[in-house]
Order: sequence, then structure tokens, then C-alpha cells
Amino acid sequence: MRARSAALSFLAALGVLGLVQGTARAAPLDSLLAAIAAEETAPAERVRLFMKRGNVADVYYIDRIRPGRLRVLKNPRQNGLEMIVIDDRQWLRTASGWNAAPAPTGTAPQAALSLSAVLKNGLTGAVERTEPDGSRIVEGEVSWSAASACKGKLRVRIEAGGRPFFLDFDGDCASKPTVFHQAMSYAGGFSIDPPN
Amino acid sequence: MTSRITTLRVMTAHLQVIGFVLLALCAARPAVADATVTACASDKQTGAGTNLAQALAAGGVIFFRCPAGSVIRISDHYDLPGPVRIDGGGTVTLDGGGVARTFLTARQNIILRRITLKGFARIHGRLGNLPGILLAFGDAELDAVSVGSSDGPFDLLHKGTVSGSSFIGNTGVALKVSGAASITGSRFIGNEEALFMGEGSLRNCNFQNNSKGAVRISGLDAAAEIMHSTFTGTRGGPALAMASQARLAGLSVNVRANQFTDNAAGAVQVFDSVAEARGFNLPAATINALLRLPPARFALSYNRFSGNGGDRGAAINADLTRAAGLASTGDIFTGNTSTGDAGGVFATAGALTLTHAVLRGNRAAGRGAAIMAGPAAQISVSNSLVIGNSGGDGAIAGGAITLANVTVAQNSAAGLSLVAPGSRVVNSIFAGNQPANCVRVAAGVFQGRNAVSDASCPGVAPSQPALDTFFVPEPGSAAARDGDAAVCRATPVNGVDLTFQARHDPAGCALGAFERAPAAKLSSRTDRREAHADAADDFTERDGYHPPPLTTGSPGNPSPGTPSPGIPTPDQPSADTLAALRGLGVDFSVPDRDLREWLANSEFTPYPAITTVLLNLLRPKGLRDLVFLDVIVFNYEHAPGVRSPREVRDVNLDVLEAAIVEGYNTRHGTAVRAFAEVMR
Repeated sequence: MRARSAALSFLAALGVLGLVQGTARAAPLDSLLAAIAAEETAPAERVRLFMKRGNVADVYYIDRIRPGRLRVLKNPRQNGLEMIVIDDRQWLRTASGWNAAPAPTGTAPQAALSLSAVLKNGLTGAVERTEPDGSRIVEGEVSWSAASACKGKLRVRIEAGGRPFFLDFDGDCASKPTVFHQAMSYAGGFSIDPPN
Repeated sequence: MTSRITTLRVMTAHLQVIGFVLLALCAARPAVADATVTACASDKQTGAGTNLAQALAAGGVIFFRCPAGSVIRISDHYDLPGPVRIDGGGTVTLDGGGVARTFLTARQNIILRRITLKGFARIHGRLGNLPGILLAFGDAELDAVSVGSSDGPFDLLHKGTVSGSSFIGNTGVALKVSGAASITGSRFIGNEEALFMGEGSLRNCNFQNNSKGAVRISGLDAAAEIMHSTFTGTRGGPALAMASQARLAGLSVNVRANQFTDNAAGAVQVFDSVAEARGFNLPAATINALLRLPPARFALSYNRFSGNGGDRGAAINADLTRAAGLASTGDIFTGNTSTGDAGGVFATAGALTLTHAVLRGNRAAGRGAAIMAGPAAQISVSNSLVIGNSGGDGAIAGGAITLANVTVAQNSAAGLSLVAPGSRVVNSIFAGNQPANCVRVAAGVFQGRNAVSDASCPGVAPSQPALDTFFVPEPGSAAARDGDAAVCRATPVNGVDLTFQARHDPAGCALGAFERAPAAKLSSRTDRREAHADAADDFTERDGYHPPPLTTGSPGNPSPGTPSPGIPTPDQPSADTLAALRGLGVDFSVPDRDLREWLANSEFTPYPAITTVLLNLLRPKGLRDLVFLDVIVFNYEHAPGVRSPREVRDVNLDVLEAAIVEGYNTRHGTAVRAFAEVMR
């Protein structure tokens, strides 16, 4: 998990993403892959992800400090779960307080799913345009399958610095209307520490 | 001719015999004749019509032809030699005028139906008291009878059947039944003491705000049961007191599926009649007779004890010295508080077993925040959860205690504190108890396999059991597989867990209360169901990244400082709240502006706190049909013994559910009783 993009690896953990065969136009795809690579090397990243499948909505806040520190907060307004991973140790906040445990070793490499792989194999009809502020927008159709088959429209805004800034998906997963969008920040200025 | 004369003589003789027999029969039985009372001012009203005194003298069935709301003043007492049925038709009140007398003495069966009685006072005599309304030597039935403002009104010495009746605001004991009792669907509100009974059945009754105790059971000649009843706001004595002995051997009292809430002097008490008699300085002969009585057995199951108080054992205070034991199965103890020992369960002596119990959030100033065993008691706890209790010297404390597959976690008290030998702990989890998991626990108490999160329990190496939000060992964790299968199969664990899920793996089982996460159906009934995001959590590209709102507390239990979906804060309008409520079947009958103001005012209104809990309670399904929020809040605030909440933690979930059900029934003309029935 720690080797992958925070946001997308989280989607993979949710079983949303999977591989399908497909083709993508080279130029927009290259822009996206470069953006993802830039995201994965950012020393600090914060992600706000809203996902709605059918009538069930969840919001995640994912903080990452490389190397080795991750915090995931789910539905904080509803006092949802919180997880902190620091190196090989993880803490899960439950009703009984913080539970510490060894961090899971993660998904096996062959099953690991990356946004890059999804895009390489599932993005079709992609177009790219540059906005007045220097950012670029890549739009296209994307499909993948893992626990469920998903298909829909993907729209990614890439900041002038080359990292993804906003990602939006609107489609269906397992025949259920599914939308998710995520906003990223690379500003830093936060820390991830073990709970008290 | 001679023949005819002879025949006539024979016939005459026969007729004389028949007449004699009829005469004898009439002499043996009082005259029984139906009567309708038409004199509606007083029992001895003169003038035209039949008054009550005349009707009672005739006996039989007595009706009233009186204008609705008639009050008949009673000026005498009546001895009824024959069977009588008095049917007020729902229109008549009999008023005793506060004079001390026994209005009716029934030598044979008596039925009172659809009648209201008030202002009757008992006779206080040297040899005892006589009831104010009815002293019944035969069977007595009260059907839809309302009794108020009377003193010690009923003493039913034989079989007593009571249904659909109300006993409100009486002094003394509102109802005494010495024979077999069958009491259903009746209310006992604001009396000094509500009901004394022996054997028989008490079902679907409501006891509220009785000031010296609610129900007392003693002198069993057969089994007794207390079922599906509510006991709320009892003061001055326990809600349910039961003598530890019966008149015959092998008898039991079953107490099942009742709710005990906010009773200040304890919920359930098992008392020792001998000790009580000694306390009253009764003669030695009486005490010797009591000593010879056989023990009774007590079975409590699926009761809910919440918010009760007391000076010892706020939920259960059992002196089982002379009892055949008490077994509690599936009872839930939450938020009970003792000013002395045992916030939840206390046993002075004898054997008490707790299985499939949840003890949460109880508090004691003395020993045993949740459970306390007296020096002569043996308490066995299995398949149970003891969590979040506070104060006291130990969540579980005292003498001989056996724990098997028990989870003791997150108590603000030592998990186990012992003062006597003879305890045993096996297959259990002790995690996160403060200041330590064990205090004064001798070596050898912890046997077999256990998990303890610190080094305070002799003989157990510290380990960190990974528990989820339901205190279930995480799948794959050591606690999920380290249990001794033989213990799990044997009594008292009996091959199941807290929620009766099978522990069927012959190679091992989970430590603690749960074998695995409870089934979805069960978990969805808790107040910890997962709450999802709502429209207020959505954002646009223009919004971009924003850090999460600050949170405190545990998942699923919003803390006071945690904004919940759409809960208004001074700078946040309540539109989201109203939309979220509407989506869950809650609207309002007051002006929109008023409601918004209330929702934004947590200092002076209960709306923010109740709404927060309401949203979590109703998610995700919502109500079957609309209920007004302001009606729910009104019902909640007017529930007996309930404070208007200003914070989430002050909202009583049971009261809130009842308030919703009441609002639902009022609006839709239904008679739903269970909260689950109003949910989609």
C-alpha cells in the first residue's frame, strides 16, 4: 500500500479498481501517467475523496508523508473510522479506543493495482486541453473491473506543476450509479504521529 | 274418587317437598338479582329510582344508568354475601370522600368493570389494616378499573385477575393479591407502593414514579413471572423486590423482557425474609417459621437495566443466602450508578450467574463498578461484555468470581479486583482497563488461555488484543483463535458466544465474549451502526482540498464536540439537518424559522442534542412514515424522570425510541409498541 499513490491505492483497497484490456490515446495518457508519477514522489500529500455508490456516500481524508506515514479518516463528521500507519505499525481508532497492531504487508504485488495500469488498459477516447491558468484537463472513458465492473467518464485536472489536482469519475459500478471525486493538496504543513 | 284424592295427596306431598327444597335452597343462598342503579348522586340516595345500596343488597349484576361523568358519593360499607359484578359502563365514578372504611367486603366472587373509584381510605387497626375499597375473600376481577387518590384500596385474598386497569396516585399499596395473580395491561403510576403479590403472572404493565417501591413478591405457593413490563422512576424502594424463599419447594420467579429505567433505589432486589423479620424485631416463632421455608430460584432474562441508582447493586441487589440461586441470561446493564458497591450487579451471598450479559457504563463509588461479589457469594460470568464502567475498586470485584469467555475492556477501574480466594478466569480478555487490568489478583486465578493488555494479572504475559468496534477480536488476531475449545464447549460457555453464535471449531475458539463479529441484523440494532457521509460532505472542483473537520471520541458515538451531519453550529445553518431529517422520515409541525432557531441553540434547547442522536439512530433506513420532530422532542422531554438533554451523551436512547413510537402512533392512529416496527 505504501508504495502506491495514496488515493488510488485506497480505491484499490476498496475493491473499486481492477484491470481490463483496452487502449488509450498516447498523448493524454502520457500526461496522466506523468502526473501520477509526480504525485507518487511528492513528499507530502493530502487527499479529499468523496465517493457515492448507489445511495451510500462516504468521504475519506487521506494524508501521506513519504516515506512510511499514512493517515486515513473516513466520514469524520459522522465520527467514522480513523487509521494511522507509520512504517510497520498501524493504529485503528475504534469504540474501545486506539488499537495498535502490526501493519499488514499489503496486497501481493501481482494483485496490486495502480492507476497507471488502469489508465493504460482502460482509458479510451481521452482528450486533453490546456486551461488559461496553465493547468491541463484530461477527459475520457474509463473502465476496469475488480470486485465489480466499472465504467464511466473520467476527468482529471493536472496542475501546472504536473501533479494531479482534481479527479472526477461519473459512471456505474456493478450496475449501480457511482461517482467519486477527489481533490489533492501537496502543500505539506502537517504531521502524522502515533495516537496518544 | 278415592284414587283421585290419593293422587292429589301424593301430588300435594310432592309439591310440599319441592317447595321445601326450594325454600331450603333460597335460605342457603342469598337472593341474587340484577339491578340497574339510576340514583346517581349517592349510594343511599332517596326518592325515585334504585340506589347503589339497594343494588348491592340485591347482588348479582349491577349496571348504572347515569349521565356520563356521574360521581356517586359512598357513605357506608357493604358486606356482599353473594357473587357480584359491578359494571360502571365507563361513565361512573364512586367517591369514598376520604372516609376510612372498607367499601366492599366480598365473601364470594366479585367483578369490578369499567368503573372509576377515588377517595377511599383504609382502616388502620391494631391487628392490621383493612383496605379502602375491596376486601375480597373469593376470586376478584378488576377489568378496566381506574383507581386514584385512595389509601390502600385493594386486598384480594384469593385469586386476583386485573386487566386494563389504572392505579394512580394512591397511598399505601395500590393492589395486594395474596392468591394467584393474573395482572395484564395495567398502569401503576404515582402510588406509594404499586403491587404486592405472590404467585402468578404480571405482564405488559407499566410502573411509573411510585414513591416507596413498585412490586413486591413474597409468599409463593406456585411459580411467578414478571414479563414485558416497564419500571420507571421508582423512588424510596426497589422497583421489583422478591423474597428469597417460597412456601413450597422448587418454585421459581421468572423475570423476562422487562425494562428498568431510572429507578433510584435499585431495580431488582432479592431480599432475605429472615433478615427482614429480624430487622423488624418479629417474634422468634415467626423467624423460626421463616427459616423453615424452602428456597426460591430466580431467572432473569433479556431485561434492560439503564440509569438505575442505589446504594448497592443499582440494577440487581441479591441476597441469595436462603435462595436457590439467581441466573441472569441476556440482560443488559447500562449507565446504572451505585453510591456504594456494584454499579450493576451485587450478590451478598449465594450463587449468581450472568451469561450473555452486557455491562456498560455503570458506575460505583465503592467496589465493583459493574459487578461485586460479597464475601459469601459465588458469581459466575460467561459470554459477557464488561466495558466502559467507571469508579469503584474494580469493574468486577469482590470474592469468588468465575469468568469464562468474558471481555473486560476500557473500564475506568481495574478490570478485576479480588479480596477473597476462589476465583478463576479462563478464555477471557482484559484490555485497556485503568489503572490496571488486575488488582490484588493471586497467582493461579488466571488459568488456561487469556489475553491481558498489561502485566498486572499474574501468570499472563501482556499482549495487545486487537478488538474492533464491537470488542470482537479482529479476524486473524491471536485473540480470535487462542481460546481453549474445551472451555468453549463446556458449561457455562456451552458452545456459543454472547450473541449465541456457535463456537464450533473443535481446534479452538475466540477469547472473550464474541466468537466473531455479530450478525448484521444484530449489529444494526446497536447505536454504533456505521454512519455514512451525506450531501454536506460532497464538494466540487472549485472547493478543492480542505482538511477534515476536527473529531474527537470513538467511531459511531458522536461526542459532544463533534459536528454531525448537518447539525447546526452558530455559523452553520440547519438546512442540511432539516433535509437529512426529512429524508429519514422526520418533519416538523412548527414554523420553519422557530425550528431553525432551536436547532442552532444547544444551550437552551434539547434540539441539537436530540437531533444528532436521532439522525444516527434512524440511519440508514429511516422511518416508515413521517413523524414530527417537535412532537418527538416534546414526548422525550415529558417522559418521566428524564432531563432535557443539552449534550449528545445525555440523550437516553430508550426514551428517544419510545418518544418516536409515541409520535408515530399519535400521528398515524396506530398502536405500534416496538421501535423496530416504525422503521423502514
